[in-house]
Amino acid sequence: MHRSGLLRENAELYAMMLPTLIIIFLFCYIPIYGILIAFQDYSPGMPFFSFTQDIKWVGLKHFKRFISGPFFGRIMTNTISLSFLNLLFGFWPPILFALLLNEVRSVRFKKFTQTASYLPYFISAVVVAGMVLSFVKTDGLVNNIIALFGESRKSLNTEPKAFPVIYTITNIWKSFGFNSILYLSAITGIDPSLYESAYLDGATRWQSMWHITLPGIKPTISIMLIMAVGSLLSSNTDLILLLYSPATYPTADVIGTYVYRLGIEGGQFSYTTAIGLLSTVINFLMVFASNKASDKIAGYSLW
Amino acid sequence: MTVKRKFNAGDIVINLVMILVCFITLYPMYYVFILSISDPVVAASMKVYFYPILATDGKMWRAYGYTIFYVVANTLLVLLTSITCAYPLTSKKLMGRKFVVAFLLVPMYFGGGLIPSFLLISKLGLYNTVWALIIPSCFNIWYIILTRTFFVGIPESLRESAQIDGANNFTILSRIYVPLSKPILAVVGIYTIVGVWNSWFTSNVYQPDTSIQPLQMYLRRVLVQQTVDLTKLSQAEAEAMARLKLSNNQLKYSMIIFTTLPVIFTYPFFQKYFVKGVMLGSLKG
Amino acid sequence: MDIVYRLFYEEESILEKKLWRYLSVTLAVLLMMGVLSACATSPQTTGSSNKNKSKGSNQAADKAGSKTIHIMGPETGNPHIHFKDREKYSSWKEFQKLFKEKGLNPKFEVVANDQYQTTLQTRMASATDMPDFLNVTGLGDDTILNFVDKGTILPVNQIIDEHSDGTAKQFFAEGGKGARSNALNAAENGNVYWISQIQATTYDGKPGSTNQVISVRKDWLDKLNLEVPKTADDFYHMLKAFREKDANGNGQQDEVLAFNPAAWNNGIAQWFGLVNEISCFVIEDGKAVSPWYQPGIKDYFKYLNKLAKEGLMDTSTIGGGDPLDQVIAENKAGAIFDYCMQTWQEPGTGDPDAAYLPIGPLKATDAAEPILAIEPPYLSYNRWAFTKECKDLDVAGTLLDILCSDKYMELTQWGIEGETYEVKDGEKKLLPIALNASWEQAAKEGKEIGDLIWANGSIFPKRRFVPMENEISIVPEYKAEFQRNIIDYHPTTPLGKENYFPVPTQEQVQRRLELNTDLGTQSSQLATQLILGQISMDDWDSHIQSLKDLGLDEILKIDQTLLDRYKKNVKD
Repeated sequence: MHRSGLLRENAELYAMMLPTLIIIFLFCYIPIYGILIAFQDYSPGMPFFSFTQDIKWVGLKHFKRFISGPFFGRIMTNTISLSFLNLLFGFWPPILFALLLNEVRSVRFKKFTQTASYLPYFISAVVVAGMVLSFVKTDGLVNNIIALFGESRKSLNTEPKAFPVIYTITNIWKSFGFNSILYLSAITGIDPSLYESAYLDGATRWQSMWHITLPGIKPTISIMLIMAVGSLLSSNTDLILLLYSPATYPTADVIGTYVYRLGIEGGQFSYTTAIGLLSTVINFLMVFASNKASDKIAGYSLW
Repeated sequence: MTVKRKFNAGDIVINLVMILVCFITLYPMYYVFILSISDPVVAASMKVYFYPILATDGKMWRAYGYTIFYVVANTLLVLLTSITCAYPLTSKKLMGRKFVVAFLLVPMYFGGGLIPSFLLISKLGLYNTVWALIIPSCFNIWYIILTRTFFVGIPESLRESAQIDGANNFTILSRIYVPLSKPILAVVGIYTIVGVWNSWFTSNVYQPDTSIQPLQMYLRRVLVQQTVDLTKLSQAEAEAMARLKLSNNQLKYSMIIFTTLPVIFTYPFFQKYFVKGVMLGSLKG
Repeated sequence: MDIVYRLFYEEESILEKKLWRYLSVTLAVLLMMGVLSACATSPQTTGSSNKNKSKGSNQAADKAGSKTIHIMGPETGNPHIHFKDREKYSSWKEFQKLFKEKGLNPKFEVVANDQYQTTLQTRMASATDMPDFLNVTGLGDDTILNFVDKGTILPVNQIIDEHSDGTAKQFFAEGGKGARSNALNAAENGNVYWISQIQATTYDGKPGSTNQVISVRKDWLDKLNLEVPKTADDFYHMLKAFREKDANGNGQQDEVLAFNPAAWNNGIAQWFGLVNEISCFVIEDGKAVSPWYQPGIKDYFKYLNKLAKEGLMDTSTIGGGDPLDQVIAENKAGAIFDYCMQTWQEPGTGDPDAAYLPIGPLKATDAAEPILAIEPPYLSYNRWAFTKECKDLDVAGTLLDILCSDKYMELTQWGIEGETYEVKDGEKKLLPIALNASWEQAAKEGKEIGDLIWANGSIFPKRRFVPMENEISIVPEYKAEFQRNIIDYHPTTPLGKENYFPVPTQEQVQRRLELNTDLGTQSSQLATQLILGQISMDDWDSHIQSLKDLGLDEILKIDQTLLDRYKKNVKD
């Protein structure tokens, strides 16, 4: 292509993007200076950045405070392990469900099951947590089942070892249906003639699923995986707040819940911003790394 | 499935799995429902479930109306921004592609916090207006990425042949890419609708005027979930709070029904976009 | 079989497609109606949005001779009585006369209750459009002290000294009704930067107030022929009896004690002589202590451990909140913790015979005297302040005079004679419409005491001076009897130690902020684990050491300093 053709092409493309890019700049980049308070001793009413008025710059003080805090190790461990459990056990159910749902013959049953599957997503976390707690307490449903098998009842909601299990299961239950929507839509993008030729070659439905459907949605799976790795230091804080108690702090206290309790005390804007900044930086690095890995391994990347 | 197979054992397995899925998602709901009915105070007045509808004080319908407005506006805008940003990113000829991607990626992870955003919104004159809930949320970077990933799956040959026929990028986008992307647009649409429907935080901060607030704000206020520590109030206040709490406990179930039902109903309308064979026939000729 | 096949395996029929189309059209019509109704009902946006755009002095004389003051505050939390509807209440009309007399024209900005905290913080933090006078309770100590430092908030005492006509001065001076509140609000430099609500209760003419204790199901005691527990041991046996004999009659042994053991303020801790916060004090003693250091602590954990092991305590209620309400609502709570004269828990159980009898404080250990957690007889809380936007200090002074006047107190606390209260035997008594939460009726008739319309933590501070006899007379006799008997009990610890602490310095506030979260985490975790028996008391010393390492002693020292300052400033 000649030079002018390339320029004209780019002019069109940028013209397309420009309004959105401007709005993103306006609403995302301009307020970003708020991050600066992580390096100050900020109090509401103080300016964020000024040469004339006095701001207390404290460098990495808040970061140091967090890292040397008495609960830092536990908080990080819990955050990472809960995210990891969620990834390990929660990443594939939506995919599997989408694959299987795709095979259901009866349209009515398919729609019914699909609607049922994402119902939990819409129930507020408060109700879900209340329900879960009533299941796992000493005289709840789960313990009734345990008693049936002859084991002794345990108050599971105060047992630190049980928390990760309870939280992970609840989290997965709540979101797998809704998350499968994306995979379902990706499946529809696969060329149906591939299935036809496979059928003619005598492939079973399982073979089709493995060799056609699954590879067909690989791009979607890849970027979802990259994003999931990029939320390593995030967690479903709302749900944890509702499910945990001081008895389960050892395994349930994560960055989000710690910051929440800090917030209740009041003040400490700089400290909580610093913690948040630290988490997002690490998350960002994780995205970078996993994107590179995905690029090398599967050839898919975010950009 | 466009392929018609004979009914076999695999079908039985799959159907059983689906039945299991229905069971684990619906049984807890049922359990809670039964529990709430057995509460004698609630059972006595089943109208509790329909309280929000009974509260025909006009305010709720106004909130409803505004919510519809916010949902529609946001969804259309998000779809628009997603496709206009995703398409250029699929073009290999885009100069400075890496820069644009980085530009998009950074805000996904870094934000300035509440006060700077608040200052910006006030300076722009959006404070306490309906636009505060529309303009700052008219885009979603994650959906741009999703859309782009889907666009990448559309064969290059389509674009090339269109260009040979003299089409410019805008035409290619609207005439070719958009019709072929119905599935992903449906997903983005659903996600946006659900997100906007459930949102209340932005309104909480930027809309002190209650008459333009969306439904979630109204419901939260009416069915306010008090987590106030009753032991820290004076007795007179504790009593007032406790009385409010009593009535609210019963109403929380009606809140579920009222807030989730409409959103659940929108999904079937999108299901038809998840139809197989979207690509069929696109390559011919 | 054929039907099943057809039901499940046929494609959607034409009929169904028509049905869905029909449904979608209906839904679309409903949505349109929703949008139309939104447009039809004219919103009241214009007024407040204009207000937000206007900057600069709000002091411009509106009508001839009257001065404006811009006041901001949260709407009441009441479902029926709103400040927005104030015009229809007769008590408000009287209140307005007070403004008119002084030539004051208040402009109100009312923000919804649940949004007020956010609005307050963002408006004050961005210093845009600050009102002249507002409720600043939601700002934390360090934030507000910072504002004081920068001059964003004006010193109230100076306003009173130079611009009051005497009413406010008298109110806050020694001997005045607001003297103590003023002393509590004094910062270390002697200035006072805000005013507070005041609630003072008396009994038999002396300061006296209510308290929070454990209450037990009187109807179950009667049903099972049990005696009212007199010691902690009796209490334990009572709980066991409730459970084993199925007191709630549902065929299951699910009767429990419903309370939150993760909090120190739970009634039972006080039987062991423990104060009700990680750092608090016994009023008669005047020394800041921590329950961890008190003599009854080990016996307390042993006792609760016993209750937990035997299933007499519902462990899902640790942390309080919804699970706690749930247990009570399911009529399983044999004992609860609340104000002794409360009457709002019984309806929640759904059992028409439910009656919670307050008991205690029960003797629980030889190591310590049981203490009683009382509501401070003089409550001074929440904050209202003037911002630097208020340029005309005369106006500020006038507002303070109004808020400290007897007429204001009367309207706020009693309302209008004949409508909301009557005078019987020389004593004021509230009429039924103003009692018993008959809010809906009050809203309809436009008769309500000022407290519910404009005070009680919203736009204006309340002043409530009540003889307890009033409240005691309307509760069931068995609760009233308890209250009367317990009124002189010693030793006591306050519910809300802030009522005995003056304004801390910024260093103290900072230090507290730095220590409180981690200390609180460790303390509540340790306490819960000890109660549940998850960790052993053999490691007691290392437990205490972990708390010391997190600054327990420092917190106690700070509190002691504040307590000493209080004793110096306030003559009791």
